[in-house]
Amino acid sequence: MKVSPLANYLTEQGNRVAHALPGSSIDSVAQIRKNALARFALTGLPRMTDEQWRYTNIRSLEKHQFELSQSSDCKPDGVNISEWRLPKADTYLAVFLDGWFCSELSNLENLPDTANICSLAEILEFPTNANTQSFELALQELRSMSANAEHGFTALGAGFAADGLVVQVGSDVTLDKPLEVLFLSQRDADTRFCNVNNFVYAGKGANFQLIERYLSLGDTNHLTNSSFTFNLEADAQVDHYRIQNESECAFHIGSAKTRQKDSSRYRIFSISLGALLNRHEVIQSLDGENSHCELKGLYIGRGNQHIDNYTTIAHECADATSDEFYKGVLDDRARSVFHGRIKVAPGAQHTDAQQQNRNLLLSRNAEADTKPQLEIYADDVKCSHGATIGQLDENAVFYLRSRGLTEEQARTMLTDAFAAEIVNDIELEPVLTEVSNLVQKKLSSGNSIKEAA
Amino acid sequence: MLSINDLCVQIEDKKILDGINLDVAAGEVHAVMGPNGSGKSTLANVITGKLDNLTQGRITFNGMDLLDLDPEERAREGIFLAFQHPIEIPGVNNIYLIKAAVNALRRHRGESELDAIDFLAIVREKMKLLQINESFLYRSVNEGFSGGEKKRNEILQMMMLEPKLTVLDETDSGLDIDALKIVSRGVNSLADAGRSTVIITHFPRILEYIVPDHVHVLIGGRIVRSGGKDLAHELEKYGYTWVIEDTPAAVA
Repeated sequence: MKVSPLANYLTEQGNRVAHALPGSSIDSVAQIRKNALARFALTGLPRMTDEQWRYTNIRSLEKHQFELSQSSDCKPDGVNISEWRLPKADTYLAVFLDGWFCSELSNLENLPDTANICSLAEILEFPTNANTQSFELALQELRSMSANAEHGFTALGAGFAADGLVVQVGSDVTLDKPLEVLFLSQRDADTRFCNVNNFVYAGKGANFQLIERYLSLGDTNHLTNSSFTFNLEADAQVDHYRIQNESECAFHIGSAKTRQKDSSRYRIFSISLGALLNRHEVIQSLDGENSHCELKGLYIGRGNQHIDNYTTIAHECADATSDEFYKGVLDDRARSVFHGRIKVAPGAQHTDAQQQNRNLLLSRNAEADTKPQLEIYADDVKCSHGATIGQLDENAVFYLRSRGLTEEQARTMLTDAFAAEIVNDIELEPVLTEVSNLVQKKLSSGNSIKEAA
Repeated sequence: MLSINDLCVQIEDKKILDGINLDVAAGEVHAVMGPNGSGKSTLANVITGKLDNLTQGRITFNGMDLLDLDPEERAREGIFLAFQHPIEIPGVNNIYLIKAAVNALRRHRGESELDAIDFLAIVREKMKLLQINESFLYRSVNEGFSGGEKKRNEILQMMMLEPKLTVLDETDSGLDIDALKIVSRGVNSLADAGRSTVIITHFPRILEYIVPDHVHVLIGGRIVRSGGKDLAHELEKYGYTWVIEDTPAAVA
């Protein structure tokens, strides 16, 4: 296979900087990186000939020579974190600057003893008796990323493994406050490669909310490659809110991979607003009976933005349920891809899987591709899916105008209402407020609505 | 108030309206009656601005050339259409729409926007008259409403917007007698010497509750007969065929 100049550049860079990465003196850590890089050197970056990347061309990304962010690039001086953290929210806060954990901007004090949250870099660099469990978890996950890499970005993630967050919440622990993980790109982040891997373990009956946010301080064209893995033990409940609002010049590849045991519940809201090229993967494995997952997504594109949501839900055992609903609004020349794969394994009887994807095109040049993919190997199941791509209902526009609203007001009201169906399901108040504000701001910035005025 | 002169509308090859003349003075109620496909709804759509493919004619409203105005400008000048088929708008609260509409009109008149409390008080009073439950306000506009609820919602909007000219496009269709009385009461609550109403309908029954000053029979895109309210009674008795047979020009 032909490997691109950027892939070669990154492989070579990975080998060159390996010695400077956290934990490089520990053989097991160094070996994982080496194996992952070797794999990356073979696979390279994804191509449109790969079925999973059929509608997403990463050519715009390959124009740049990205340099891995160094820990010395992390400059917390002068960053006023109260400007960037979630407004009006009381959270445990973990802040990353260009991919590096920044303890002086974070606040993880007063966590319950049974909850352990720390930086991956710190664990790899200084493994101690106290963090053995976290160290083992991280190694196991990194090894799995390298061995089972679905594509080049996953291998790259493990090959450049540097920092991230390792979260362990013990059995029957309910966190009293949400955990907010804030990834900020600094003003000088042009062509910087920010690589983070985050591992979350929820013990039996644990219950917490995690807010994952991405913001850019400037209009930079950095590359973010971020992975989250979740392991939910029986009866655990995790609500995951993800808001990607990076610079519209940036490149963003993210994933959430979750394994769930009996009667656990995982819910994710994936809100994609920023980046020139954005891909978010949600890979669910319902391994336990009566486990339940909900995937809600909202993406809004304008200009030349490309937004790809790739989702897989595997019903591996009986009596599990999943509910997936993604909506998108595309203006100007923006493009979106929704891939919704649902697999029902043999024996996974009484599966209930619902999937919907709806797209609203505001401009003639916008494009949405939607691809439901159901693979069902059990016979007593309830699965449904639906996909639509449409425009605003002109009868509704006229109805509102006949009541005295301008055409611009009418179109904005209808577009807001389309997005609100996802947004209004957000239960966590400060996240709901933040997402509502961001969505309204983004919707009013597209060109079609403005031109209609 | 409203003056329509020699209005012709053609859609593709078909003449829908063919030389309509109609003058509605302030304070008057006019009924436009006719069988299906006679052009009644087209007439409503031209007045409110949904259709603008006129081949000929002029419409003035209080001296303004109506055809120069966008639909929202017509609404702000005081024209209101109660839709034959009110549109369902998922995700937009009824109260949100009514408030946005009321305030758009107030701003146009140079008045300050109503605050939430005053607004609620007024809307509640109107709802009482229309026998509408408060939950109605917080549902999406017309979504999942019964036929009767949709029509009442149109009249609620009308009462809140206080138009100078109301066009009721088959507001009576699908209503039972009780609902028809309630809706008519709503329309009549606004009646005064400065406001006019155009009722578009198949059936004379609504005219027992909203009594017209003039009745026009529209057939084949032309007004073939005009008269007082008694004309409606004759139509009830003899049907539209009577008018057609009586007026050879209508068949042409």
